[in-house]
This record gives sequence, structure tokens and C-alpha cells, in this order.
Amino acid sequence: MYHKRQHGRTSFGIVTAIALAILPFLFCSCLDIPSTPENRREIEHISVYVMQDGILDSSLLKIHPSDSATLKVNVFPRQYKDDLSFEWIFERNIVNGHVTETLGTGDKYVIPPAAKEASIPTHLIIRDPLGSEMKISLDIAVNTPPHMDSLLSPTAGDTLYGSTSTAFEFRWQASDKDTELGDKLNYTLVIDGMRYNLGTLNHIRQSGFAPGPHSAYVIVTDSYGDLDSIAPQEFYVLDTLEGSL
Amino acid sequence: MKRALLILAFLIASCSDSDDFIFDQAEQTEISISAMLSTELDSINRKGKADTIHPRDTLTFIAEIDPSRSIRMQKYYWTLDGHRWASEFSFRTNIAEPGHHKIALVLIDYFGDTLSDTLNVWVGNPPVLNDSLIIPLTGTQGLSPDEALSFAWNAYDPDSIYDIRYHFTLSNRSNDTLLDTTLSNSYLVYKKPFQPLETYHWQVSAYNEIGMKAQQTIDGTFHTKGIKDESCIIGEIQTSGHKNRHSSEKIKIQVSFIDTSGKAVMTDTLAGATNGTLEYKTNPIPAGTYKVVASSIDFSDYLGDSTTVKVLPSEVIQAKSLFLADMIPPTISSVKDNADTLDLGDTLLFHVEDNGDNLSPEDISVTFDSKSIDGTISLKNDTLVVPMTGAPHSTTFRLLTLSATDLSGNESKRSFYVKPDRFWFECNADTTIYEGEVLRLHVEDTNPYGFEPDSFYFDIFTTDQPITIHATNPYVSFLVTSGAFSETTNHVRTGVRYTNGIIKWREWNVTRSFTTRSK
Repeated sequence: MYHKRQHGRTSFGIVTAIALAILPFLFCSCLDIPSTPENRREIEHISVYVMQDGILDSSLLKIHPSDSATLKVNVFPRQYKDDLSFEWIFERNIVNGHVTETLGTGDKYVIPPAAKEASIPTHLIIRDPLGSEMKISLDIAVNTPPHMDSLLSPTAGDTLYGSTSTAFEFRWQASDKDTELGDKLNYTLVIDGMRYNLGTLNHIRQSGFAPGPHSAYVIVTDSYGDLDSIAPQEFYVLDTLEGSL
Repeated sequence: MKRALLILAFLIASCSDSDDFIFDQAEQTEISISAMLSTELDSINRKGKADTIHPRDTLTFIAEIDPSRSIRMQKYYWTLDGHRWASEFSFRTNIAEPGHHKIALVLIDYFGDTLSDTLNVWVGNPPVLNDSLIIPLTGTQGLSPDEALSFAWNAYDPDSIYDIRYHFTLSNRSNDTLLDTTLSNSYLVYKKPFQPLETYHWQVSAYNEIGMKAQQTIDGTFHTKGIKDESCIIGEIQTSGHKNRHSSEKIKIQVSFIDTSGKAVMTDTLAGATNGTLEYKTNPIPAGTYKVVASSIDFSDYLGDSTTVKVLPSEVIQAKSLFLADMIPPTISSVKDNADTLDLGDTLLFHVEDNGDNLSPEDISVTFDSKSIDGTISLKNDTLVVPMTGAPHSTTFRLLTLSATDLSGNESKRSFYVKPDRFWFECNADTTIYEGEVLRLHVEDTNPYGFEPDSFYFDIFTTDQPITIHATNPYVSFLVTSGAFSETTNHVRTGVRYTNGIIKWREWNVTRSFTTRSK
């Protein structure tokens, strides 16, 4: 009895040893061990920028309507860009939800000149090979730059009569097609190199002009940062008042 | 065996103080923490939970732990915007990064519970206001009173994170406020009409979102034009009275505006405090050159002043300030014959006069025998009353000095001699003797020191040798006839020589009348 028990214990040990030897081999042959995490990089960011007239704008996505503009996708690291697919869509809200229309695919989209609202993408859908997708909202500003029409007073070559304390009128005019859409124009008046930020004022009176030549011009800036200016206008101040007494 | 185990368990239980380790809520002390900050070096007095500071300001952070900092705890630390920052209970540092910061004190107690308290700090630099690049430039002339006027100025936030607000005020020359508002834009259009030929002041102060005020302020002035090119002269007249003294007196000043032909085109009378500033403004006058002359009407001590002004068409010109200065000090004299030597009486009277502002007792100081007696004097209609009732008796002359300072700071000082009120001896006083009369000359020693008289002297005839009488007792007298006095006024000296060598004299006069006394 004692011997049998001893024999049985020996047999069990042999089987266990064999099983333990085979088990790692089985595990190793069945598992597909992934590469170490350090070697795999994730897509860190995806951004959209606009190119128009050779100028790149990635912050405001601002275009002016007269020329065509190209929207491009920037992926970092860029080697993953080829694995992704892109869909440019126009989405319009209606009463019971919204209507979606695909405008194009690929990593770039060309907005035609004088594009209508429906041909400017509002969103970009990005899909990876596994079918996951991400939707990026695009807020593309169509802005017509302002135009500085003229310095109405004083005009180039004007002679102004007065002393250093006489208040001379400065008046100017600018235009912007987008003012009806809420675009505001701000002005910077530059007199003899000194810049006066005047906000929306388009008319001031200023003194302090010694007899002799002076110059003035105005820079107009719209809400999107587009600006225009005119060439400095030279005018003359003549102090005839002193001699009249 | 079982019994032995039971006994052993009983013994162990009876020896142990396990009751002490049983949780008793009543014995627990609640822990609380509070984070505080202070900008003061003395952090005890002014502590708070929030503050607004400059990047270079030093803050003291204080951890207050109740019941005490010596409680058992695992750890404590401070965080700045969520990041581990410091590990002291209290420390001093600055926060250089502009913006809103949250500073938290975190304490993990012995049981692992976390307590925390949070402070808020706003860091920023005040906005910068350009006080020279302004529209309209200060001193601008000829602005139309009927047109809207645009104001503009430049400012920026050095941190580029805070919005700037502007406090704008507009007032006229009389300091009536026309507009007092807060703006978010650095420009303003004022559309209400102005008064013609008027001067206006406008001021701008800039503040950022956290209430920091720009060091600079804009203080501009402009003038509106008149009708038909008429002009105006404005200015101020300062009087020299002491600025720190309130004066109830009014000074009347006449201001004349004289053109180049010598004609006064306008004369005005101003009235105001003698120690202040009076402002004037002409009516609309033609452009030209004018002499502005100012003089005091009723205070002759104030010297006049003048200036010449050239005013252009439609200008409001600010003339140079005129200054009426009181350059003449008060005068001091004794009421009785303006004498320098005075008899000591219950009161002494003086004239203290000034042709400027009225003087008050505060403007006068009196010293008698080197002691101030300011507190007892009074002044009524230029008459100074100096009570002398408390003055100690004296056998010598004493000095009484008066000093008077008018409101323009002009000071005059004069000293008087006060005669002795006690003498070493008594003798005759001033008297008159008629023809045929006799006069008893007498002397009685009353010296307060107990000196022994040796001789008495009577110097009647102004000779070198006075009448000398040996003193056998303290009193001597004798008679002389009127014929002994040959002059109309005769100076007589009476003297006493003491045994210790001291000689004292008193002078008096005998007026000789060469007629008989009328009955």
C-alpha cells in the first residue's frame, strides 16, 4: 500500500513537469505579441489651414471672396495622413435638424471664386482605416478687406492757417463691403509719424502744428484684421494770425 | 490545563489598558486649516484670502492650523494653480506670472484625510496711459461750440491679458461736471453744445480689470471760440496770504484790461480771500494786445501786479498769473506817546497796525523779561492789551518785546523798557514850584536788601558836587525856596550811598513857574 502510493506520487510529478514545460511553448505559439508601446506613435493633432494668393492662414481661416482658396489638412505625424480619409461637408441647420451635403473628399478642397455659402465647407470628417471618425467644425470667414478711400481734410497740398493752438479738422472716408454683416472699421490716424488709435472715429480736430509742412494718413482695419491705408498726404500750416495783430 | 488558560487570560485582561484605545468621540479634536496671505511685512495685522498684486510684490503665505501645527499629520504642502509649489507652513515669495492664480494649502492628517483651503491672487501690471498723445491736444483753441467734439487717447495693458476701462470726466471752468462716465473704448464723441468762449477740462484715468490704475492721467484743456472772431482773456490773481491760515477778511481787487491806445476796455472788481486765488474772465473783446493790471482796493499793503497779453481772434487766452503781495510788515507803537520806556501798570497798551489782512492775537507774540506772555494778550481794533497784573515787582528796568507777523509772513519786532516798580529809596517826584513857595526835599531808604545808608545826595543845581547829608537814620528832609530853581525845567537827582559802596540815583524834574500860584 505504501509502495503504491509512492509510485502514484512519482507518476503525478512526471506529468506535472511535462505540462509545465509544454505550457510556455503553447502560450508563445498562440499569442501575437504586439510591439512595445514606445515604438508606436499616435496622431498628435490634425488641423486645417487655408491658402489664398500664396498666403497661409491657419488661425482665422479667413478668405476673401474674389479669388479661389484652398483648404488643406495638416496631420502630425504626417506619415499617418495617407491612412486617413477626409470628407468636406456643408451642414445647414433646419427646423427639424440639419441637412448635410458632401462637397468633396481628399486632404484638400478648393473653394471657387465668389463662392456661394453652400459651397464652403462647414465641417471636415476624418476617418481612419478601422472606421473610426472625427468631425472637425470649420468656421471659415469670408471677408472683404476694407478700403481706405481718402483723407477728405486736409487734402494733399492744403495750406491751413492758424497758430499752434488752432484746431484743424481731420476727416476721412473708408469703405468695406462687409459692414452690413457687422464688420466694424477701426482707424489709426498717423500725423507726423505719431499714431493715434481712434477706434471708429472718422473725424477729429487737433492742434499743435508748428508753421511748415506736415503729413497725415489713415490706416483702416476691419474686424478680421484686414487693413488698408493711403499714402501720407502732405499739408502746410501757415501762421498768419500772429502777424495780424 | 483549561483552568490555567482562563486564569492567564484573566490576568492579561486585568493588566491591560485596552480601554484607552477604544474610540471615544468626545475626546476627539477637530482639525481645521486656513490659508492666509498678506502683502504687509507685518503679516499679523493684515491678512486675507485674496489680493491683487504686482508681479514684483512679495506675498507672505501663512498656514493656520487648529489646534496647532504640532498635530500628527502625514504631510502638508502648497499648490500654485494645481502644481506642487512649497512645503513650508509660512513663506514669502512673489508670483511673477500675470493672471488669476489659485493657491491651495493641502494637509493630509494622520488618518489620511485631506484638508485644503484655497487663496485667490490676481497678478498684473497697471495699464499704461499715454498722457501726451491725446486728441484734442491740451490748449486747443477755437473749437466750435455747436459741433460734436471727438476725444481720443492711447493706452495699453503691458500684460496683454486684461481689458482696460477708462474714467472720463468733462467739466467747465467753474468745475461744473458735464460728463462723468466709464468707457471701454479709448475714444468718445461728445455731442452736446458747449458755451462760446469757454474753457473746458477733461480728464481720463485708466484701470485694468483687476482695478489697477495707470500711473498716468490725462488732464486736458480746450477752449471754444467766440462769435464773430471775438476773444477772451482769462487768468487768476494770487494773494500772498498764508495758505494755511483761514482768513475771514475779503480782499477787493480791481482788474483793468488796457488796450494799446491806453484805453481800459474793461474793468472788473473781484473779491475773495486774502490768502487764495481769484479768477477773472473778460467779456468778449476784439483780438489784440492788452495790459492786465490788478491792484488791491482796500489793502494798501498789497502791491499791484500787471502782465501783457496778446489774444488772437476767437481765442480764449490764459494770462500769466498775477501776484498781489503784501510786502509791508505791521507797525508797533506804544499808545502813550509812542514811548520806548513805559511805566509798569496793570495793563500796557500798544498799537499794532497792518494795512493788509486783520491781525489776530495769534499773529502777535509778547515776551516780558524773557518770558512769553502770549496767552494773556488781547487785540481790539488794532489796540493790543497786555495785562501786567501778574508781573513780579522789580527794582530794575525790564525788557518787553512785541513781535507781529501779518498773513503774508512779514514780521516786525519792537522792544520797550518797563520801568522798575520798586525802588531802593523813596524821594520826590516831578513837581511844579511857584514864585515864593518852598519845596521839601526828602529821601527815605527802603532798600529790600537791608543795606545800611551811608549818605544821601541831592543834586539840585546840576553841579559836580551834590548836597551830601550823612545818614544817621533812614529818613532825611529839608526845605528849599523857589529861588533855588533858576530854570523853567530843572533836573534833580536824589541818591543814596550805602555803606557797602553801592550808590543809587533817581531822577525827577522841578518845573519852575515864575508867577505866584493862583488862588
